[in-house]
Amino acid sequence: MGVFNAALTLVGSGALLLLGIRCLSLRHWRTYPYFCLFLACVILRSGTIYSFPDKSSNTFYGFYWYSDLVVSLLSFIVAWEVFRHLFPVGATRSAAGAVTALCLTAVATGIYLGTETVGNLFPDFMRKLGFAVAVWLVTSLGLAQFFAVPPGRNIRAMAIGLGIFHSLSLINMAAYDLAESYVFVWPYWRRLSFVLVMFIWTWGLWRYAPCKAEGTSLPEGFSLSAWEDSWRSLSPKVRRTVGL
Amino acid sequence: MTELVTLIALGGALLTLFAWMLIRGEAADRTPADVLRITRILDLPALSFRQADRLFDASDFEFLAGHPGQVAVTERLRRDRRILALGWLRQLQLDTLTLWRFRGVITRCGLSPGLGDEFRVAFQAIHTLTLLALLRSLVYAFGPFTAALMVQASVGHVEQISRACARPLEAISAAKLSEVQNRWLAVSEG
Repeated sequence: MGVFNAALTLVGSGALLLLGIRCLSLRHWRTYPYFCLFLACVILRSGTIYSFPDKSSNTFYGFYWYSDLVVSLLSFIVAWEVFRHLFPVGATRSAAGAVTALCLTAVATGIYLGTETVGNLFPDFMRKLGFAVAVWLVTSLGLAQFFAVPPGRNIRAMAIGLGIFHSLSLINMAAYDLAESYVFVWPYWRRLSFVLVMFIWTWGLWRYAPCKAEGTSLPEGFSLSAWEDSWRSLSPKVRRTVGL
Repeated sequence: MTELVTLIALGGALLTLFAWMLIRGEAADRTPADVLRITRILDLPALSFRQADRLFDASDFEFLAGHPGQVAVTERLRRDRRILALGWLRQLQLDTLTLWRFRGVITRCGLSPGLGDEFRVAFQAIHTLTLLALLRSLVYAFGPFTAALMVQASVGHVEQISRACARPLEAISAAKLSEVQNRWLAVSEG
């Protein structure tokens, strides 16, 4: 298990660093500031955990869970990043926003009314948090599919990666409280899911490929007279097409 | 205990969904020539019109809106565009229905690739028609410049149906193709 653990740590931190460097070189922080903030926090947390001198102390234990909680809370801003890129402006955003708000309210109500704290406090809180983020991501991707909005490689990878991580985390955290023997398997499973997500993100964000709607602006040399000429020639064609 | 088992089941369901999205990959880019092959047989005015994106493009509207002296022109542009956009969307709905009916003719001629394909086309046609109806309501309520993305993608859906109709005709004899054309004429004129 020691070799496996070391290999996971090495591959995970390698992929994380590679992703961080790639985000810097492609200046992803300009387009995806919330995702980059989240990534910076993950890098900071991972670095601190790996360099912690005494991993059996209470300080480490406290840092591990509280920092995990902060990172889990920050996943909401990645979900927001996904949503705001899928539905940047207009009526589609209002419709998608209303449906998402409805879904999240239903999840929050379900969690508040239907469940009580089971097992340890941190895992319980984190699986509920993870569930809410995963629902938000599924709703966003489902709505994008319904409204036929092409998500683009970057946003797709961001959403699917985080969704897979929280789904695995949900299973992992529930099993943690369900069976005592699982406590020994738990850290490996968590690291494995982290490595998987890092691979998905690195693959998805390796090149800049935003949503197709982004980057539309007025063409160079756009002038009123050119527009008028162009519109005059287009208008009769359209009218013929639609039979007006 | 029950709650934990439920959460594991929910996590499994979500994981399957995300894994499916990952494996499915991105939609392929569209090629106009491939899509318009079917227009040799069918009349699809809205789909054949390749400048539809411009009807919903807000750039010239924004340009005009930036000139305070052009308020009347800006308003006229919005009004004109809305009428044209609604007309084009209605025509695109009719094109979708035409394609769906044509698919029925192909099936009746014994050229259907299978039941799965039939269900896929039927589902896609219903989804596209619903989407276009929603889009028309949005354009009617908020104007043509608010849903450009949805328009691009709706066209993508209609193009997919067009491809699905063209595929069974790829490797058939001239006699069979003429039979399909005759049947279609009988259906469309009747």
